[in-house]
Amino acid sequence: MRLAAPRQGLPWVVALAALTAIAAAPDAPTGPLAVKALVIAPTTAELQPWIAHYGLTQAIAIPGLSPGAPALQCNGDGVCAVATGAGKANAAASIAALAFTGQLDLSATYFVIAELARIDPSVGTIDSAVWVNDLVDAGIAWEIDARTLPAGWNTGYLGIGATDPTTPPPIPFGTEHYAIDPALVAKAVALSSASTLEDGSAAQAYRALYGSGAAIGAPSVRQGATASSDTTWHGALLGQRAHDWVGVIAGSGATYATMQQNDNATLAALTAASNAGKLDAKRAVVLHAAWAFDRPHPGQTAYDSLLADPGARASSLDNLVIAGAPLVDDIVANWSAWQSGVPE
Amino acid sequence: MRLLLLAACSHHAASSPGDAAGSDAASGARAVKVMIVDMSPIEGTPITTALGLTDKVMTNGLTLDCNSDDVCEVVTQMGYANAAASVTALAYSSAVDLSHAYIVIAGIAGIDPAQGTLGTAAWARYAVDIGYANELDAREMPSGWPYGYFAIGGTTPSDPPTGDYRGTFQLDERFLQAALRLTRDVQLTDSQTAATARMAYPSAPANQPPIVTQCDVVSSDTWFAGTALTQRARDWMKLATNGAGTYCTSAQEDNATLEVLTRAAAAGRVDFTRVALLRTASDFSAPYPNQTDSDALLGALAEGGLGPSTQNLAKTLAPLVQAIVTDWSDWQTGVPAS
Repeated sequence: MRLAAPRQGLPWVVALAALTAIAAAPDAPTGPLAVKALVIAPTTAELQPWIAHYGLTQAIAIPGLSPGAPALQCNGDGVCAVATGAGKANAAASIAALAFTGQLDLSATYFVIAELARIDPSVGTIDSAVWVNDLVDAGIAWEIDARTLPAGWNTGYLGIGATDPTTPPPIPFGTEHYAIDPALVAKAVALSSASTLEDGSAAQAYRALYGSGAAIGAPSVRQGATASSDTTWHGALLGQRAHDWVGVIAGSGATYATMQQNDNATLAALTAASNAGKLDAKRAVVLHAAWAFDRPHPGQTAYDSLLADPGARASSLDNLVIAGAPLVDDIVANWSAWQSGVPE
Repeated sequence: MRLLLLAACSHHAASSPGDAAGSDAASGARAVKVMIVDMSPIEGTPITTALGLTDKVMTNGLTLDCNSDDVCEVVTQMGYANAAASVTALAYSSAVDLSHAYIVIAGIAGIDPAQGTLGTAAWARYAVDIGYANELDAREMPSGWPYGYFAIGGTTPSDPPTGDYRGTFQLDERFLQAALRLTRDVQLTDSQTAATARMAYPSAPANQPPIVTQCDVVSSDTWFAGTALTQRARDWMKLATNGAGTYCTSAQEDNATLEVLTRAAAAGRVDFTRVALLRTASDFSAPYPNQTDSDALLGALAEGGLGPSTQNLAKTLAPLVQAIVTDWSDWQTGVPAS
């Protein structure tokens, strides 16, 4: 997944412009580059639409980034994007490298974490865009094989140090739960709610197989909670566990909507850097484009569902920009307002 | 994209590794000889006490504990995200120069009773990520599967992990052998509770007193226990190392820490041939005969292994740290020959 080939090749003019920028780099400004909006993607495939849309042709090599994507991509308007590499280790390592190597001024930066994710069909459908309110780590847990459950347990996962799956874990890691600034989420939703999301015929046919409920509705821009784990779980039982776990950790106000591998680690690194005075983690916002479901449709096995292609990958990559660009555009266009915080 | 990245790469190489971040490290940074990386105060306190690490160094949001021999220790906090973020903050700190430091990752772990026992101290050759994977609930998996985990990009549990995710690290053999040589005669601490708990296991090494040994570590944020998931760890270790590694200890940070150190080595900040990994066993990952998986898991912290495991980290580290600082003129240029 991390280095999945871009859906389309980079136009040669863009590549040429990049080379020019790099050739000029030794004469680049001596002070750290002040970034207004930083898009954070796990993979180069998810980075590519932003590079194309914003002309992010200036490559700035930063030590400590993923070897598969060793440079930040920027334009002259203060918009940059980075691919961290997939999974928690890569996500936290790359974001901490941006913050702690001193080459960037991130003190006023807004962080737009944007990636493909799987969605709970009881909450939404593929080709939707979800602005995340709560991020819950689903990987930090105890686990036994689900065939050996004691009476009363409905899953093999439970909190570390807990006595059953419904009890909050007594041992804090500090990275289990992050809540995004509600004012920032509200602004992102308001700016993007009128966006027309891409949705193709293959995705339309695939969602119809779910038969009823939110899964067969039209794609929309919406809000929800996400669960993060290096382990890509799949199926009705582990989907239910994710739903329940989000409630255990974030409370009944949070509704599990999407799952992915990176976000709690990205927020952990941003928070560590924020605590060290390098940036303001309160300026992070999370956008997911739903490219697949987290469990099967009626009559389908969990295994077949996990390996299926619902036909929404290309449209979801485009939807990241379709839903995310209005926020980035507003931040850049109205920087004098955004610089001091989320505008009213 | 690939053209862009290639170009970016050569630009970086041309400006000499690490100088962007390291310019201030050259002036006034503490040249660390031994950097101990642990994950919680439970692990760190016995180490700082044993080694007299009383100097506080505040940097990038971290607090390092150091002594006048330039031995330092950092607590990353637990789990992948904390480990990767903290070790990155450490690696690019201008307060320390880690370019010649011997870096020892030291923490407690679960252990396969087929490979060790409560209190065992194990130096790892291989560190394998078992969290980055696909999972189906075992009640929903295809018939005949031994467990619900399989590799991302694979189709069955017997497919090895492949692709671009870096899930396997090998520690430097020369440093590993030196660490083993210098620590293998350490008399490890045991507890009466642990001595009693291990007698429930019918065979060695589970029912024998702990020793210092070499065996390999799997890492995941998810702390597993039980018969099937222990077998899964054994199998995954073999798949990921082409049969060379042996699952022994289970931890929650090591592949995140090693990913950061690999990147930092590429940036000239650390020397990856000077990294070693020690895990001591606080609990068994598999049950004894007739014990249920859930009883094994829920009782993990009551087996009496926690105290000895934390004490044994400090005990095992001490002779290695002593050798490095005492014979620094030899170690400065690399691990000395035996």
